[in-house]
Amino acid sequence: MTSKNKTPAEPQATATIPAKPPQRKWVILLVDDEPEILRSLKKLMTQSLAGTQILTATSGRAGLEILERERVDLIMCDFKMPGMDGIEFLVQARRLRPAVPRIMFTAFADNDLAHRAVSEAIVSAFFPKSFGPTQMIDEIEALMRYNPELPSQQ
Amino acid sequence: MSGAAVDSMMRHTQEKEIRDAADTASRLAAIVASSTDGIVTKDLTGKITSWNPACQAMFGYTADEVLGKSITILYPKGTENEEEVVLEQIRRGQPVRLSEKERVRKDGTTIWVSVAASPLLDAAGHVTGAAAIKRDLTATRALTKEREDARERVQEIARLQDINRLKTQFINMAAHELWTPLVPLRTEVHLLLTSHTARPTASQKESLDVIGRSLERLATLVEDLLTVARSEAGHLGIQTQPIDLANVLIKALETFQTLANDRGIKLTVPRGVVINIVADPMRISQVLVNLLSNAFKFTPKGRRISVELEDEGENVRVSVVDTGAGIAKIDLPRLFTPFTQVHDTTQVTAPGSGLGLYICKQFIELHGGTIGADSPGKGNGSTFWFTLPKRGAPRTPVPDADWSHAALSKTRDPTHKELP
Repeated sequence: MTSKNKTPAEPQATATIPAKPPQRKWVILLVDDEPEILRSLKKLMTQSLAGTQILTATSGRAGLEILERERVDLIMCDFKMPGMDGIEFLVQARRLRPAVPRIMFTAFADNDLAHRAVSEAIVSAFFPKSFGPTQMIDEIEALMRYNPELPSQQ
Repeated sequence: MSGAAVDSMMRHTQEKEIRDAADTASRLAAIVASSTDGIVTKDLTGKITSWNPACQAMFGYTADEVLGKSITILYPKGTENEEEVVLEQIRRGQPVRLSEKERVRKDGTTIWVSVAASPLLDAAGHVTGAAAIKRDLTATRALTKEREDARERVQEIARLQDINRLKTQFINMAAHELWTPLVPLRTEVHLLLTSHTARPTASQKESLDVIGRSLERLATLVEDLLTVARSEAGHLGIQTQPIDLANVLIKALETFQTLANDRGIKLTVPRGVVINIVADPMRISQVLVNLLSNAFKFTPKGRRISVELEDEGENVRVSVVDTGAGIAKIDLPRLFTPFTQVHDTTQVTAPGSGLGLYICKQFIELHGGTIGADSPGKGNGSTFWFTLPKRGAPRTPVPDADWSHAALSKTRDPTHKELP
């Protein structure tokens, strides 16, 4: 990794720059038991979403600990994780931070799970793992733009 | 009492006994004659000495035809010596019970009977022959067999359901495990190709493009497998709403316009029509994209592809007409079955998963519509069409307002290019 990559949030270093530059960094919490997925997505979001800070956790429990002590603007988590599954984690995350939008990111993109994610965890979006990098970034940007609670609108 | 009176009384008694005996005999004869069980008597050599009407009905021989003949005429060929065993037991004064024995009718057909044979004794108590009651088990056996068959069918269905459930579980798990490495792979290739700090050389970019395209193909295959697994588990659903079908089609076609321009293909679409129907816009769009992708795959440069929209009253018909490779008649019925690909060695384009049309069929059928393909033959182009009932599927799932969020249930656009 070059020294330039240490400040990947530079606006000129990104392909997609939001119409309105954020006042402060967006903080996105990623929860997935697969470290490789976490690492890649963190890099993708840092590079593609200007002014974002990415926090990662490899379990629901670790994710909740982060939520208790850090300010977070968006949560994206996997469904199938050992121990606490994605729905359970998001339900508890909602109790802790009701205003923070939640995204479920899963390979089990069927109607039953989507319904549970919406009715139990009240997710704002349900991303199948078939979403490619560009589509995922587009969707997250759209979500950030339309969410008045988020720093991009301040 | 006088001797004459005694004589008279004795005579009366004897006469009564004779009358009673005659009564008993005629009653027994009536029973034998009217019995639905076959009743046959034979002597100690096995020769038939009486044959009731039920026997005639059961075996097809009249009494005249069998009286004096051996009972073994009823035995299947090669089993005649079994009669010796029966007669041996009868001679010893013992009854014989046989269940489910095969016998042969006059016409050669098989009949299944149970036999209860009892020794016949004379006044002195000597065995003179046997009386056998034969019951026709053919109907009972058929019923039992039917019950067994039904039970077997139920077990077979349960077994198949188990296999199907396991298969679905397996595909689901396999697809999930495949996504785990695919997500970082696709992401990293995207990052390498879009990096502003370390641009790849032309040769590296070429390699990354190959990797990227292969990954997209793999991603499509995995997603198609998941869709089929969900469909088989009954989890594939549609979210219907009132839509303008023409508008949905035009939007889906937009992504193909560039491709059409690049390849010099004339793509014609219906303009200025409005067709209001109840359907799932995502799924319909996905079906159209799939049909158009196929049309483009098999249509050479400079030819024409058209999308036609016909109002058929209750239904609406959408056709994708190409002027490409065409399909042999023999291949038409197999197109919509899973893992079918009509290979054309003259085509160099990448094949799909073989699941695309099968998935289209699932989606159209969930809408209560039909899908099909026609072709005048190889080299003469083909038409893929589907119809949709305007009022939606007979049992339209209730759209859930809560989860009609834009990002929700969004399906991946197969033409979506992840790579620049």
